[in-house]
Amino acid sequence: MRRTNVICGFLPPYILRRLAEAGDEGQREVARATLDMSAHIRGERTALAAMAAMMAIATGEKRRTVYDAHNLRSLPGTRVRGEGDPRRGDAAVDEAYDGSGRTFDFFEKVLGRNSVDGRGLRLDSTVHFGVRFANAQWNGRQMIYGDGDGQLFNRFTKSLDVIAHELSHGVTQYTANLEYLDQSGALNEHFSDVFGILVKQYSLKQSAKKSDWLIGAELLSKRVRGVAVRSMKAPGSAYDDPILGRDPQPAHMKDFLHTDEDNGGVHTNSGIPNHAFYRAATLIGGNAWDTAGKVWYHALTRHLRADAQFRDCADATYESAGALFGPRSEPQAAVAEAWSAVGVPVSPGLREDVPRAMTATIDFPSGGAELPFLSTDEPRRA
Amino acid sequence: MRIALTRSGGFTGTRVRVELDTAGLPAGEEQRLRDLLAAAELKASRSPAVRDAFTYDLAIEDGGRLSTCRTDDSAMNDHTRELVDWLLEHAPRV
Ligand SMILES: [Zn+2]
Repeated sequence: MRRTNVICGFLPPYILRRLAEAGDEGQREVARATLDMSAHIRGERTALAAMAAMMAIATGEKRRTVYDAHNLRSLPGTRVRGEGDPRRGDAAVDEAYDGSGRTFDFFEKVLGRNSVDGRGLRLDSTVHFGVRFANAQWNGRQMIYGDGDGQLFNRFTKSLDVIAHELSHGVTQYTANLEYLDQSGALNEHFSDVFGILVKQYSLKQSAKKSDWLIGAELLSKRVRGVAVRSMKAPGSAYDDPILGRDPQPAHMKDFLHTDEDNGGVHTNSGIPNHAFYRAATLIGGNAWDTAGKVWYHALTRHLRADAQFRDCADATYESAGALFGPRSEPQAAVAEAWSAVGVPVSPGLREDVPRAMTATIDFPSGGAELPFLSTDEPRRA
Repeated sequence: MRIALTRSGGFTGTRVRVELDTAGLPAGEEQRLRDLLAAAELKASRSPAVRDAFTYDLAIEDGGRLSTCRTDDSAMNDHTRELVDWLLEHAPRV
């Protein structure tokens, strides 16, 4: 037995559990092995599971680490800033640190989520990745940022919503895990833009009406004719440039792009649900993170399956609005109106405001139950 | 030999396409391209966990034979990256 194992053996299970989830690599490995061993020996699996569940909902602690790839492509690179360390004076390093912190805070304070996985996952970022790399990525474990190409795009940490977008790919991975292809892939992109814009609005304390609804506004260099990479308010209008071309995003289902490039146009067709979110949030009014944001998060974490299509997302957000704000509430009506406006109407069977053939709805004081009318079906019990 | 490369996706979702006919190239550059191609040993590969990766589609027509290959930013080997970078720098955009 290694010496570290013996030391860990003296630690109470809740500290081991914490180390297993949030410690450095060595600590995690040892803590996990020790937990497994003690669970096996003492038959404490149930107790440990209960403790783990408590840890998962407990207020999390940010554990950010920023690495510098020094323009190479090996990950994670050199560790340059850890949690609580002073600023480095390198814009990319400090933006990655601050941006992941703001995103963590947003998920915790607004949505009650403890980091990307809901269990306090460490937030690792690598900056200065590659040479003239004009991209940002989530690789399944961490965020990666390039410096831009020095021509069209600035460094990719420059927009807070881009950082939140990348981290939110992690949230989706740990929840609905939407397949990164065609419509479900465009929804994966869509949810990252939704949380991207919400983190931006939340940190600017900006209402839905005040927001510019732009994604990546700070990414375009001064030379590019355009205002951002994407616009949720007016998809297709973010840029029109001789070199970059024209923003290809559709805002309506009739303009859905059929292509096999970019995993079936996931970064293009996301314009359709993006615009639905914009419409829902502005119809409801106030702060989007309190209303439409919570509805979309509820849909992502409780309703959507990995193969969800646009229609499934319309239905899921409609049902989520009903669950959070009540059936036939204003937010729920706004969600339905928003999806209709982009050509993806909520399934008629779900609509509370649409009369259904063969059925009638009777309201009960306790919340309502549905009874069949002119039908031989057994009444559904509320 | 004719070669076409399309880069799509990435966070920005912007599409770049370049095409090159070696018939118009100085002999040295054509040899350089053939060396890069031979070293790359192109094969399709994708990295399923990565989000916002660039997708690369290569099409090569040589002596009447067409071969195509799709890969991405994270999955490709260093030789393929060298080929792709060379093409993006030297081949005309279309
Ligand atoms: Zn993305």
